[in-house]
Amino acid sequence: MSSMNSKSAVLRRLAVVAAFLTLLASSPLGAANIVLVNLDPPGFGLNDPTPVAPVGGNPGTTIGAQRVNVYNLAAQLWGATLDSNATVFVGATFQPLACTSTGGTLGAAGATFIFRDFPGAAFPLTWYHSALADALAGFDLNPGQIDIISFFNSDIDDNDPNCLTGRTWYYGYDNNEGTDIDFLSVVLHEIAHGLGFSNFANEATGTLAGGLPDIYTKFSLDLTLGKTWDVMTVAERQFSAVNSGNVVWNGSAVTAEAPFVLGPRPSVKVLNPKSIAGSYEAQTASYGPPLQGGGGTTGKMVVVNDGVGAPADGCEPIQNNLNGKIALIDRGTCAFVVKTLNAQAAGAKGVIVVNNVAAGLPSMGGATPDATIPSVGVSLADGTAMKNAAQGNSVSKLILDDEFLAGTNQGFVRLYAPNPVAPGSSGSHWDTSASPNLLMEPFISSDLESATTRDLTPALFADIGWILLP
Amino acid sequence: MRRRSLVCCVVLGLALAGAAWGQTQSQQTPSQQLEEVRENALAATTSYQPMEVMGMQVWIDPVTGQMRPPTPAEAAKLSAEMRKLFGARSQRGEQPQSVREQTLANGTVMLELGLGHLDFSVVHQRPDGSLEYGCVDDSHRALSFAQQGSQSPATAQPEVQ
Repeated sequence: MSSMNSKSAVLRRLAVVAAFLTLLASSPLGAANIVLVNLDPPGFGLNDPTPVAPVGGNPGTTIGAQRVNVYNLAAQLWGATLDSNATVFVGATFQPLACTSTGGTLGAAGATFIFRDFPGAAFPLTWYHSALADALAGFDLNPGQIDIISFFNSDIDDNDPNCLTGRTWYYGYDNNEGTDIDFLSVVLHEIAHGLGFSNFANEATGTLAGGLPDIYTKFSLDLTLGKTWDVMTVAERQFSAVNSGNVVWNGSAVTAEAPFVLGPRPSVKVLNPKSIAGSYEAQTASYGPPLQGGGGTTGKMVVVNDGVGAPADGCEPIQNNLNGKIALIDRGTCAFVVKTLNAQAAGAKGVIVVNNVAAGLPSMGGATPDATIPSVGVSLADGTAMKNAAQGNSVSKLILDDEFLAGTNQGFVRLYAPNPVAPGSSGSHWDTSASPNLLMEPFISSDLESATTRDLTPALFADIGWILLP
Repeated sequence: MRRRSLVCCVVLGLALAGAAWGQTQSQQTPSQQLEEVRENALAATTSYQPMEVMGMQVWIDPVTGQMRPPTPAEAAKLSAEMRKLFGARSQRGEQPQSVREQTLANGTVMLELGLGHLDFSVVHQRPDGSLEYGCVDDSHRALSFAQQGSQSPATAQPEVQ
């Protein structure tokens, strides 16, 4: 990073901290009062007395104090966004949650109670999260109880190599977590689940809580079935829960906000032949140069021939001339990286890997410093059409296509619907194809700066009935 | 400082509905109100299951060491590992045993989530002396976990081909 970039990054972080401190000093009229209910015993979790130095704008001098400070900041950030007369009580506790060297649960949260047919409810026979129901009713429907419960993984601060290889929580306010885990992003994420970013359906069985829909399911649309989850049969809901890429949020606020948040979609744009001309969704590789907008990488499409076994798998040195061309390669047998490097050695300027299973896009994982050309993966159906057309003057571009938004389908933002169902993740998160990464995706990302913007989440809250403050 | 115990212990619970209807909010100071809410949550004899709430996860690329969203296959492996550690009531297709519905005086219907059963936060000591924690949803599984752990779920590999 150049010194100028370093300076601008530092200035940006200082600006974030200053903005937070300003927020702490004053909240808008009508702002929801979101209150942390510390459920940890003395000496543990939120009360951990271990001394630490202040970090990233967080003045706490013990681990417990820093955790509480971050939690209160997250509560105040959401409170300043949402209008409610009723105090929202959020229980919080640190517990050992599942964790391995490469993955783990950072936190978990949800509403403790749900309500229907209360004064102010927009829809009858529809469940609402406790905090939202209170806000719509104008009073606390269930006084004396917490509205949201949240858990955070206490193993992460123990430098345990078996838990995320010794990474720790980062308690600063400034998105400067480096390789550690930004606690503020996780707390914002978890509180948002409890405020309304979650359904109460069982994705594995297709059943609804108490046999009735909730407000979130009214906006969960399956584009294949043409139905929202609240009006589906149990079998339809079960099908939809794993209909990856085709389950979207159809609320008007999110759809209107998406162009201001999401970036262009990685695509293969076929220019010739006209019979298949158009833009096809693609998965970018985790290695090699990123795709570009504008002209992208353009070239004639050629199916590779490596002369061995399945000749189009590109696993051996490629025999045909790929100079200045875009290589079409079948997925399978060897690593994506091997295919790309073989095509690059034969002169290709880009690679399209065609999936070998019907569902979805190839993952395009792997790592190499040697790839100098971009690689993408396309679906089996789209790739087969490209291969069939890759004769004569077939031309395509690998491009970030600004005609489409990443993470959308038919203009709607996708919800996470992996196959098989991922309990605790399916349905109640944005899909991971969104770019840039969003706060309410199921997996945290190192480039997540949603602590400052919260991206599409407030719009979703508006769709389900929250009044947003200006 | 951590809570370490080889004995299964009851995870955080929530108060049963109706535990705190006596005093209205308007009669309480904010600190009294907060203390009442806290005591209700802590005094519960039942439990709440973290797996039934929404969670945020992290995935670290084993090759690059960078955080990134997992591929679908990696996500499925991670989800399977989480299920091993937590148990997965919803995956078994059961309604949570603890869901309780109640009609309030003004006609509002309230559903209480996650109450009515015990969950166990457990720890297993591996042969090398390190500890393994888990959360399971019945006493038999808790005992099994404490004795044998989660059977060391295999480390998921990146999907590179």
